[in-house]
Amino acid sequence: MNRYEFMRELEILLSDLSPQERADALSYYNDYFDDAGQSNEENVLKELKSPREVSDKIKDGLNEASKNQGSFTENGYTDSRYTHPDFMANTQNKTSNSPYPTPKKLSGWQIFFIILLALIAIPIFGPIAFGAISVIFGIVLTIICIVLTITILAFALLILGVVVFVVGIVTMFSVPFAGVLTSGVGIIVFALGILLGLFTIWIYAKAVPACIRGFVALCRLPFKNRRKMA
Amino acid sequence: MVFNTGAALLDAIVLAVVSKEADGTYGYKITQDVREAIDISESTLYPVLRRLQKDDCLSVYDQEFGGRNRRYYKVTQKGVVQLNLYRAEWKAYSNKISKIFGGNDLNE
Repeated sequence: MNRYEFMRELEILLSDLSPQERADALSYYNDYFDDAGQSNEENVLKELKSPREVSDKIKDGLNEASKNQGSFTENGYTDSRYTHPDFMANTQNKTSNSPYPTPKKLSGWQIFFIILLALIAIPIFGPIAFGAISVIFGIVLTIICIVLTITILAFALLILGVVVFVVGIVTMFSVPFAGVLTSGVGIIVFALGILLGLFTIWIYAKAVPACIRGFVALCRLPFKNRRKMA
Repeated sequence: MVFNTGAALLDAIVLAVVSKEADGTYGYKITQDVREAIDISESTLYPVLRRLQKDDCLSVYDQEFGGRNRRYYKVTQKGVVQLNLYRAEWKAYSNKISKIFGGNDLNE
């Protein structure tokens, strides 16, 4: 294998990386060959061993989780995974394209037992889940009722304020003092209505969307973790 | 060789090697310089450089050399801080080890 064959194979092996990451790695090794010089090409190729070894180390490096695997000795980097017979066999087998072992497939029996376990769990966890959902539903319903009550109260106060004010104005013609008092109370009630109305508007504009967002985020939580793990 | 070089020590060695060149240095030279201390394989260094770059300890720039672009690595402000931390840690660590080793000599 010469330098160009090596680079071509490395490019293929790195094809699952992002374009930027791949280009960086390829240009690094291209530079490396250039700087080592033509006379050293043979040595560098021998040192690098195989494109697969290089690509595996690049991918391991990108994978933060593997930071603590392997160690560097004076005799070079040793990683038990690379000296493991399985890995060596895998390296020699050029036809397998994936550098990583495919995730273990569950056997038919294992799947059967998982389904069985789930069926057994239904009578136990079913009622508990139902209870939990009922409680959540009850809380949500209560909150909706409270919000509706506040809304209706705001409207009622506004209407009452206007009515009392008008009554006060009318009364002013017969009993001026009582009329002024009544219309004053009407204005105060109207002001309270406005205050409560503003509060209602705030609930609908800010609190309700925030609650919905929070609820959606809560529902997404289990999926988010799964995506991170993948 | 009986002593292992952990990832942190390798980071420290690479940072120290790169920091020696004020204008930055390139992959092949870094490998050769690191190999004066420890014999690491050529494929080991790129992931280390990439990680240090990602951690903002190294910055890169391309400069023309002999009709092509060569990538240079330079230690950042953060890298200098990190290197000084490694130096202090190494001094404390190696002093303690030396003291124990030396103590054994005295007992003989």
